[in-house]
Amino acid sequence: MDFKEAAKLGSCLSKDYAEDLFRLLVTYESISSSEAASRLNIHIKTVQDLMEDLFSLQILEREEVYEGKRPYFRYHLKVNKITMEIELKSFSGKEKNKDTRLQLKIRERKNAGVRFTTSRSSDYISNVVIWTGEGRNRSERKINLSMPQGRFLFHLPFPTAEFGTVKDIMKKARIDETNMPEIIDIVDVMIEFGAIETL
Amino acid sequence: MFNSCIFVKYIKNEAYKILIIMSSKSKIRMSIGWIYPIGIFTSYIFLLLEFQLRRMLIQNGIEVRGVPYLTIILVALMFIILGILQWFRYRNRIYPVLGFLMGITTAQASFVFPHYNNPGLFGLTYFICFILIILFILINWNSLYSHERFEINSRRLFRLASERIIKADNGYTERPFSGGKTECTRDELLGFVRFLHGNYIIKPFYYENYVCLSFSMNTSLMVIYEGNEVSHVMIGYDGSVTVKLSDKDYKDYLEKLSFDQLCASFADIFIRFFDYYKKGYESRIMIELKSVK
Repeated sequence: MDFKEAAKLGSCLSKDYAEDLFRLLVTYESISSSEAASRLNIHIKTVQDLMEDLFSLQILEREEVYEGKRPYFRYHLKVNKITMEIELKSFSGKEKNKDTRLQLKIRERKNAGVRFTTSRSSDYISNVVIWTGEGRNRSERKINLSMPQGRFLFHLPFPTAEFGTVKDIMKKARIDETNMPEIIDIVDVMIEFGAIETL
Repeated sequence: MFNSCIFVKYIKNEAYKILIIMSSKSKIRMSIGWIYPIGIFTSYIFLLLEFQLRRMLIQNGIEVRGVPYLTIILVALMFIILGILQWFRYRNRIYPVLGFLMGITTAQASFVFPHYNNPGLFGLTYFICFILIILFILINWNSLYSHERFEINSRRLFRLASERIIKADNGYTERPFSGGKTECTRDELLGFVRFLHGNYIIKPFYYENYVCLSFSMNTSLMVIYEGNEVSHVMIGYDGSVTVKLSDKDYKDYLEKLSFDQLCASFADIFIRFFDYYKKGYESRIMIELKSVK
């Protein structure tokens, strides 16, 4: 299950009437939105939206029924159990690009308009303040850094210095390879805000 | 009259030559302190000219006093303005007070000239101000003396660091520069710091894991409470060396130098000085500093 589907499912399950609706779905062989709404004493549209969401998540199945003038859907459970599984490792993403990112040559951009605050122990950067926009739209964004990120930025080449690869800077700053994703993340953010330039 | 004109021209040329030599040989902007001797020297020329002019006017029958008021007022203003400028630069309140006292005293000097027959109350206030200046200097002697020594040595440090550094675009950054490591024990480091402080090269600030060696060509080291308020080199008890130069000091270079190389040069200097100290060659530190042009 991808994160968007999981979020949708989470939203469905968090509704006040979700438990009662599932009880009806388990009890009835099939049920329409109007029947469920009248049984739960809530608006038909509210129930219909939830059932459509559950259908899109393939938890329910629907069948078009023709009784009287208008056709309508009857819903029944497709599964007897709901499991939610999200692969969190996938968020680090760019797995295949990591080697490329490590070889990226970077250095601090000249006059980037960024303020680096050094820690009390003066061996790493504790936070970075970036100003974006002009005039009234000017806003300040403060990024608090983790210790490895702070050490990485502490050893970032100066604006007039030779470019250095991310890997070399990590080595110089004695940062463990397990911290690589967060280093790549801060590098991407700093490139996005124009605080770091690449070769 | 003709002779005095030649003399003035000669003095003017010599002063101009001195200024050219000073600015062309140094990579660093001139210290404000230099303006005092230049100003006082120039004021003597003005004084001679004004005397001559007044004498000519008196000879031509025009009634003027023989006292060079204009020069005196100019010199008084110079002291006051320079005091204020030094206050802005060094952030030390001693300078505007001293400048004001000297300005006021100089302004009253006209009343004690031999041509002035009845100085009256101004004669008295002149001497009171004069004594006040002496007292003020005596009371603040430590601050004045230490500041001058610190500034002279800081300038030497900046000149030494800028030797053999290439020109580049302005690459200033607020980030500290990691200058590598040196082998040291805590006692060796503290001894080294005491030596540098004793010779007015740096002002130390002691922290839990490191010592901050501060130096500055601008803000007076006598008025700072934290080492990181000015340019500094931090030496950790583990031997790590970190350099941070202030924007003000970097701007004092007449040409833009490669900032990373400048920071690396500072780190090298302090590591080298520390090596001298460990090997017992402390005298080389002062020799090297004084030899820099």
